[in-house]
Amino acid sequence: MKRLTLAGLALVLAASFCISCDAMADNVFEKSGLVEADTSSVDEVAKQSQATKTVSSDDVIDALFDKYATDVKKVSGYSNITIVTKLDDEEYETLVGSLSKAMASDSGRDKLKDELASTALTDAQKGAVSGSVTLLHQAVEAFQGDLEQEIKDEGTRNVVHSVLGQLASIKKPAPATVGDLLIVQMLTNTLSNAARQCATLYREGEDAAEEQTYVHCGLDLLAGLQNIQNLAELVSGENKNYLSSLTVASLLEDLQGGEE
Amino acid sequence: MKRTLALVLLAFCGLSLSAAEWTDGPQYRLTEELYQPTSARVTAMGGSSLAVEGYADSFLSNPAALGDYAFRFSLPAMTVTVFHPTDISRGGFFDHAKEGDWAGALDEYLRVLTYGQNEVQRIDVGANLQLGHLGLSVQTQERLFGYLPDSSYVDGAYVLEDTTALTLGLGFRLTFVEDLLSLDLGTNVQLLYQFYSRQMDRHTVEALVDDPDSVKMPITTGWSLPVTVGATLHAPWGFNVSTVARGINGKVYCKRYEDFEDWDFDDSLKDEEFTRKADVRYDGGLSWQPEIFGFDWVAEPVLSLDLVDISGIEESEDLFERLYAGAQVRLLRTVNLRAGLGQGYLSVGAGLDLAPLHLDISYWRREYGETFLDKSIDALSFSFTLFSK
Repeated sequence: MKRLTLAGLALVLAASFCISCDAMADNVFEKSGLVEADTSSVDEVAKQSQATKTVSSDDVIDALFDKYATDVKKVSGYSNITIVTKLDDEEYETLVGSLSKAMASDSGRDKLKDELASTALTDAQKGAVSGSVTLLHQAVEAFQGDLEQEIKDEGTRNVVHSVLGQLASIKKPAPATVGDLLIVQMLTNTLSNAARQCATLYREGEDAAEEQTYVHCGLDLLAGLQNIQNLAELVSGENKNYLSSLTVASLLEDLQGGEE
Repeated sequence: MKRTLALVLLAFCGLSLSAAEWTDGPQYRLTEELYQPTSARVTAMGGSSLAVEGYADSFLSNPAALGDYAFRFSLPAMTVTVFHPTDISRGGFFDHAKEGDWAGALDEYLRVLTYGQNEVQRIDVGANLQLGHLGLSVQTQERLFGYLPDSSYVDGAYVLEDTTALTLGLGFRLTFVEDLLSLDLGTNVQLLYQFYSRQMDRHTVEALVDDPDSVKMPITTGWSLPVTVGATLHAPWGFNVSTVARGINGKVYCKRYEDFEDWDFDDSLKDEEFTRKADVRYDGGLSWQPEIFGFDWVAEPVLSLDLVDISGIEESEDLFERLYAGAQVRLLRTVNLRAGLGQGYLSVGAGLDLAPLHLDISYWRREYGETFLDKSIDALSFSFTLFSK
């Protein structure tokens, strides 16, 4: 009987300590000021967000969508607007690296949250966030109607369908924060890369496009969206947790064309 | 759906694409760590164990524990460790698992991984025997690592490592003043055999989708014969002071195989392709295990403190990163309550000694970043031991 009572006590203790896990995430030495974490990756993110550039949507559509550009611009309600400029691959890799490093660090994550909540954007950047979301909605509408039917590979078509459905639900943030700006920046790079890769594959076929397959493009897109998804968890406001229902498992399934 | 699950499982937990060559990189960094078996008892006490004696596996931390003439036997000594338990429990892992959606559950399980080094799971199974001043142990440890260059697990590189260790130890005691002052000395010789897989990454997934029959499992094997030497001074009033030098003769002889099926144990022991040098590590420990005369059956307290890799301390930050401390109180010789501070992170745990069954659980955290405080990961360990504790 004594042992049973003690066993019960131990189990209750074991269960209860799991509840206070949050309190145990802090480093005692850091909290007491004995050591300081390196959060320079957050400063790097702040620097990069301040340097975000804007561009005219007409110029981007022409460059990205090539022969589909005219179709995209024909969508009802489209007008030339200011949007966020796509970063070159190296700059984008640096931005994602700094963000990921900051998110992985306990102290960096807290500092990053504060940085992302800041509304200290230039007027051009605020306008570009709103413009990019507008353009995104219009592009989604255009793709859902036309391009979706033109993708021959069933799996890729299913992935595009799922992703477009999620992207259509993104709202214009008011007021726009640094977090919104970064998310729009990452969406711009991820989606334009995916569009470029798909267009190349569509034009040249898998054999001609060296080291590019629909699966490769699909995984690129998944990785990009998952990076955005992870950042969105730290952003406050209307777009918090958007893309949260997008899972790699379901998209991988789509990528195989739903084969059993 | 079944194929999805198979793909995800194969890609991230098992097989890999054959490659002509593969080199060392950050994704293999954790395979270079000094081997140490996992124990829920030790992790609950902040990771401190050098000067704590009285357990069947004590001599694995410090061979001087064999100076205590005793018979202890544990079979099996098994520990399962899950990393990121807090994030996993808060995500949708259990919802997916409840519905039998294992691909979704695995997706949630991997989504908790973050930039840089990650440990996904660890399993330790072994048997320990102390026969007088002789110690013998056979342990195997399996670890799955994940290195992420960003925050997406799709971009991650995963490495599976398996280590088998056969340890033979010998100790003796020099008594200066009966029951007051003695010195235990001991040494362990370990035959370590390790293999780890080539990184599994998105190229693996692409290959699996493209042609599952082309999938092979390249591995690297490594063996070494490291020696550990330890000493513990037993001072009056239950104070113990320990010092251990581990990793002596720690050079690892490695060989690569393009497929696991090409692997041959005898062949892997000769004509190494490359070697990995392991530096000797010097650790120090203190413990206080007072005897409360007449009340031992009510409560047995233990306090311990370890400072590892002492020669590597150059700045004050290094000191905090290498400091592990813990406390345990054993009540009525049945229930153990434990808490600790390892690398500045709190740990807690509990244990039940229901002879011959011993159950332990611990929640702990350790550093995985490039520098101290860059990144920490929490873990939940369950230990199950039969016969001696």
